[in-house]
Amino acid sequence: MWVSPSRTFGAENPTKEENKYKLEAACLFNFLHFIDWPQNAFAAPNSPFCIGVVGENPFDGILEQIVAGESIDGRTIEVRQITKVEDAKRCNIIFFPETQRDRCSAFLDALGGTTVITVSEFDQFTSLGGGINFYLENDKLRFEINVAAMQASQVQVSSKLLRLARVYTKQGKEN
Amino acid sequence: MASTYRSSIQRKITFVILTASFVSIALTCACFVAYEFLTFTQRMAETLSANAQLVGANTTAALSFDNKRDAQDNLRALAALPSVRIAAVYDKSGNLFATYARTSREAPIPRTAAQDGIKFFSDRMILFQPIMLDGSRIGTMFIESGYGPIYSRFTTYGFIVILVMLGSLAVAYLFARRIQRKISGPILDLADTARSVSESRNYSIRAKVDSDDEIGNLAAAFNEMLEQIHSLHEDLEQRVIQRTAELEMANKELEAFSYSVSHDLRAPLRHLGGFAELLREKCNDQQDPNIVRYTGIISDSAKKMAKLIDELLEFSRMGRSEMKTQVVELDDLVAEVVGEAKSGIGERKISWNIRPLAKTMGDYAMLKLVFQNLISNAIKYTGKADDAAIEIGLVPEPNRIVCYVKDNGAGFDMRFIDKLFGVFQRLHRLDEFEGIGIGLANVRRIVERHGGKVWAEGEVGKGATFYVSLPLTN
Amino acid sequence: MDKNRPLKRILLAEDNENDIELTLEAFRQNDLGNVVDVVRDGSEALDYLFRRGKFTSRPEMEPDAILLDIKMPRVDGLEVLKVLKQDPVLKVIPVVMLTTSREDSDLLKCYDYGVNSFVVKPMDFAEFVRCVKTMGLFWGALNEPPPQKKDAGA
Repeated sequence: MWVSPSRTFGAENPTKEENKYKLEAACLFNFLHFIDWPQNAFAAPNSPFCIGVVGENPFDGILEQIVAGESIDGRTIEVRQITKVEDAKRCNIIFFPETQRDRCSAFLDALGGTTVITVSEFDQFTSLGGGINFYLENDKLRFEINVAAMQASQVQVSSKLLRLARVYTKQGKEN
Repeated sequence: MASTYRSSIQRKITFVILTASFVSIALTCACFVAYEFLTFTQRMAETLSANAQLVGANTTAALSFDNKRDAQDNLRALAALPSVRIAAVYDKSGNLFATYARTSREAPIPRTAAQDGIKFFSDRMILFQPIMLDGSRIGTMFIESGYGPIYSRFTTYGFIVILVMLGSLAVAYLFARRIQRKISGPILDLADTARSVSESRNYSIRAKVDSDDEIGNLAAAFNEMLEQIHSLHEDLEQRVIQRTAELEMANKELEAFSYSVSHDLRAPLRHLGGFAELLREKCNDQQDPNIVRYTGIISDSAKKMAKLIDELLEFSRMGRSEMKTQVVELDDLVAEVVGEAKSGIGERKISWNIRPLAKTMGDYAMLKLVFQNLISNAIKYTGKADDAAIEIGLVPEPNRIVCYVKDNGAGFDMRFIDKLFGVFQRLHRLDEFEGIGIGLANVRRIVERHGGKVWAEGEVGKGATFYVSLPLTN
Repeated sequence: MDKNRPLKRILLAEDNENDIELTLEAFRQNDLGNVVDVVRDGSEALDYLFRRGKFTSRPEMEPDAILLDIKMPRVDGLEVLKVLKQDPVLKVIPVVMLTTSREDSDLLKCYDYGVNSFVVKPMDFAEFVRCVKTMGLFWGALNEPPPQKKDAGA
């Protein structure tokens, strides 16, 4: 069941931090809709999508709540806690909370050439070679996509998603 | 007369054919237009739906990531479709997410999403369509479109339909003119025949029978009828000729009879009188006074009988003689009769009251006889009255002239009114009043020949009033 | 009476004996002194006038007047009048129709044929006598007859 961000997270009067993670959880789930992974990204044709969260889970169970019972192209979705780089390789999306900023370089190096999309929420993540990075613009949550990283991961990113994103290239930021 | 009649039936048939053609053409066109309209709205709806699908699919990401600007941009793509006036995207819960309006003057955009589907209004159609993402509904697409393309197309259709109808009607008219001749031709022939028969009274004319349908039957029946009329007419004419001949014969015989009567009956009477007179002269010296008295009775009787014969002949002649009709001034006529009557009454005193009369049409001599009879009757029957009074005047009536002759004489009993105007009918004894009872019969005969009537009112001892109605002058 | 002139001769054409007798009686009573020749019907009248049959040898003098009854057997008075008035010699003789009744048709025909007088015999004998007297005086004495072609007396 897809849940509208505004409705799911805007109902009560949560803290700015809480609200940010609710939106990011919804976005992580929605990325699955607009990104196509190659067949070899999955162990089996009916293997579930996997969203990995590195380190301590900042979503407070919201992400699990969002993906529970959902399926995309016949695949269910699971959320994993990632501590080791090896674990990350079996995921489709890896999220680095800002707190895991220091560990990301190791992960990014290890995941180079895999189909795993890396997502984080701090500046320079894309310049470090990360795939997607959340940022705030006029208090609204936006994201930046590193097209080169996407191409390296062999995934197809929907133009609709790209249209919504700020595109990062090595020469500079676009959009 | 002939041409209006002629054109009338032809026009009617042409009108019927044209009406039928018009109705069928109009129905065909209506069906065609209706079908086209349905097809077009269907196609339009499909197009609209497809566009909604397209735009909706493009807004899935915007909806997913709550990017209203992107959704707005997507909706702006609808500007390429001129008929789309307003459009909107609603989120999953049906709240307005993004809008589009072609111009600033468009209708307001619904604040919430309505039920899915397409609705047609007189000037627009609206579509609510779900926006799906991987099998789940994430929002609603709304588009309102005018009928611009349909309308312009149907204006073209309208022109084509009108042209087709005009063209078809023109062709139908040309055909109708030719076809109606097949029907109206024989009918008009028949009408012409009927007219020429009635105008020329020539019953040997026949109508043309050149088809074996109802009109042919009609013509045949008409001919049969003419045949019957023809034979009846001839028969009737024959009979009239025969009757006239018979009547003429009878009249001649009657004339010969009355001629013979007037000569042959009168002669012996005259001899009777003559020789009785001679006998009286011869017997003058005889002592028996009865001889004188007897011979007197014989000659008186003979005279009376001769008078009777005269009047009877006059009566018979009055019925047969030709009428010389002219305008008759009754005032003059009555004055003349009264003048003659006054000179015949000697010492008697009668108070005359002659009121203004009128003009009528009739035979002067005959009408004079009428008034002679009525006035002499009045004189006769007032003979025993002390202060005899005779009044002649007019009863006002609109369509005829009614004269009356009124006296205060002996009068008559209304019970015997039936006998008053009969030949040789008398209501008084001879020793009371002289007369043979033919005068009033003559009056009736003359008045009836003038197309009028006679009647009378009376009371014994009080007097009598005789009425005569005569025609007005035209 | 003009004694210089020969006795007036009158032709009476009448089929009825009673009428003849009454007429002659009337003449007698009036003492007119006329000679009255009597014929019994129209054909005899014509024979008399045209000197045929038994009248071949009648005196030369023509009658001064003819009294004609209308209704007669064989040839009626009208026929006699017609023939008479067509004859160049006889047409000058005055003809009086002496008849029983007054019929318009008869009157018309008579005057058409050229009758000189038309008299209806009165019913009353006394009147008839007066009538004959008037006639006799008029036609026999008062009226100048046409000149005779053959004057017997001369």
